[in-house]
Amino acid sequence: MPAIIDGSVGSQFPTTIGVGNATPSTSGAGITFPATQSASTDANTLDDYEEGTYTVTLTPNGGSMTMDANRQTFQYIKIGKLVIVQGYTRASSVSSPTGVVRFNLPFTSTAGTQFSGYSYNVAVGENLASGVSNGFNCDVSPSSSVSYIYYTAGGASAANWLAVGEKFQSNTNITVTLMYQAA
Amino acid sequence: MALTERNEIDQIEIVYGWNIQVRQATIIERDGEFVSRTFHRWVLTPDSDISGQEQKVQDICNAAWTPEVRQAYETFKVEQAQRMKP
Repeated sequence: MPAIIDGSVGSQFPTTIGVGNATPSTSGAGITFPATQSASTDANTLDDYEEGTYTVTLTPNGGSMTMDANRQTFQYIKIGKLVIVQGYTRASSVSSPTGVVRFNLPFTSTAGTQFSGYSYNVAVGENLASGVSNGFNCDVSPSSSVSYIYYTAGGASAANWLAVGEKFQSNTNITVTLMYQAA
Repeated sequence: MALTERNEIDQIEIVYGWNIQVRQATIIERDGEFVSRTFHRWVLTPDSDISGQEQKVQDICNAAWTPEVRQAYETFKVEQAQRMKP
């Protein structure tokens, strides 16, 4: 079936459209973007799409964690500047972890203006030491390639943010969903 | 009919001076014809161990991470740490 381009009724494409000189994918039907983004400064232009995976590592401020190599892959989708990350990971063993726990991101976050580069996301922990609920926050700071995991007690102000490192033990699992804007 | 798979670093980007974004493409071909491509990513910072990275990645890291950039990254980390409770 040939493509139909008719200004009076709209356009119809039977397979895939390649933009930015991208070779249209032969699989399915859709829009193929260049493998390397051709960034547009126009606020109404969708200029990127990418799906992929990355290897996540949990790192406490103090002490250390050893990751379960079979639960260390997160997946991401990038739509324009919007990055969506999800995954389930496990610290198979820990050695006196303290402080906030950070994990790496697939893209650097935007610097933003004023404080607009911050985003606030969620994680759920399992098999934690006692004395903590299993709902955590995941904070992405501007210009950063990591997210910090912490929890709050009694309020949302920074004074109530509490470190979570001490609550990790062998086989603590973390499930993460987060969304932020890339640089 | 032969299916082949190869990995290649197809993108290295320097973001805000110290973040080196690396993308590895895994490309599947059938008799030399492209079939599919998947991506795996990571971001390196001046405190990353880059000894296991491909030479071209190491070269870019070493070129980008000047003493000034390393200092700026250390300042950035301190600012981040001050925002988070220990």
